[in-house]
Parts: sequence; structure tokens; C-alpha cells
Amino acid sequence: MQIPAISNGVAGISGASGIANGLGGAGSVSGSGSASGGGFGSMLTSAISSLNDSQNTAASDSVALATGQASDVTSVVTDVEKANLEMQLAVQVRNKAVDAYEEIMRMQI
Amino acid sequence: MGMFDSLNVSASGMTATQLWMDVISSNLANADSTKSANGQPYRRKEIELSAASPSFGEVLGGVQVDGIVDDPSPLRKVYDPGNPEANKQGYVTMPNVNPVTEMVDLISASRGYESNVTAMNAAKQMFSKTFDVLR
Repeated sequence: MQIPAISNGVAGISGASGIANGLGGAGSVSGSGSASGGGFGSMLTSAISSLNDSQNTAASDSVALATGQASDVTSVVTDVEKANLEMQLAVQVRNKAVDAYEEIMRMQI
Repeated sequence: MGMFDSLNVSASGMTATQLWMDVISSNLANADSTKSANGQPYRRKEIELSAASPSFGEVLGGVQVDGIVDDPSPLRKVYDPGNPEANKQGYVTMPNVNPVTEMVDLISASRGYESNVTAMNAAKQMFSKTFDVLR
């Protein structure tokens, strides 16, 4: 189904989290980003793992529906819709991160 | 407040309405059943709904079905001496199901399901619009 697109997207987001880690390591970003120890990179990682979980749930629910094993159609639809919305959010965050990266690369030295 | 509370609440409403639909179908199908599992004529079934207590981290818990109960109203007696179920006086005890009531309930359930779907779609669009802010 959508799995190749998703893994591509996740790979892109992981790359962006690497950038974020690099920024955190430079030490110049202080105060706002690292409120609870982990910082932006670990927050992004946990968000991506939750996205992955919801995608897996949606996929297994869809398989159960297709094979006639799903008893509750409503929960299947809700899970798929949640996965869709989380994916939209993740893609927007990724786009934002890539935009920021490109902005920095365009900067005059 | 969770991210998808409104979706969960609408989903609970849809599940409850679906069960109500099952009960109405059972009532309509058994409108003439003179015997059920306990030997008595079929009794009309109703569902009991209650507001669910919210689970951890939620503000609202949606709706939950407490159970399916029998309608205690008296059973109908129909004069039909030829029926093998008839008593000495020739009366047959029929279920207390009124098809007209069931049809009205059917419309209520159908519209209730629709309203839950509409609420879910609206919540979905609101989430999408929020994500568009990042665009």
C-alpha cells in the first residue's frame, strides 16, 4: 500500500532530526529547545515512532478488514484516519525542516 | 487533552449507534417469534447508554453501552386457534414488538449515525486546517 512512501518520508524526517541534533550539539541553541533533557531531536524521534505505530495499526486493521476478521468497522476507519492525520502533520514538519535547511544553505558567507 | 479525542468520541457514538441498529434489526426480525431460548415469546430489546468515564489524560470519554435489556411491557395476545402454540382458549402470546415504533427507532439510529459521521468529518477537517498553518 503506502509503505514505500511512508518509509521514504520517515527517512527524510530522520535526516532532518540529524540536522537538529547537530544544531543542539553546537551549543548555541539554549533555553527554548531543551526543556526536559532530551531536546528537539529525541522529541522528533518519539513523534516518528508514534507515527510508525499508528501506521502499523492502520495497516493491520486494513488487513483484518480485507480478510473479514474485523468486527468493528468504526475502529478500523478511526485508526486509518488517525494515521492519515499524523502523516499529514509529519509531512508538514518535514517540509518545514527541509525549508529551514535550504534557507541556511542559501545564506551568503 | 489528547490529540484525537474528538475522533474517539465520535467513534464511540458510531459504535453505540451501530449496536442500537443491531437491536432494532433483531426486534423487527423477531416481531412474530412465539418462542425464544427461554421458552417464552421474544421480548423487545432496548439498549442502555451512558456517558463513559474518561480514561487517563482525556477530558471526555464518549458514550458507552451498559447493556441490552428486555422491554417489560405486556406481551400481545392474538386469537388464532389453529396455531400449535395456542392455549386452551385459542389465544397465542406474541412478542411485544410494534413494527411502527421500530421503524421510528430505525430512522433515529440512522440519523444519529449520520450526525456522528458529520462530527468526525468536521474534526478531521479542523485537524487538516491546523496542519495547513505549517504550509
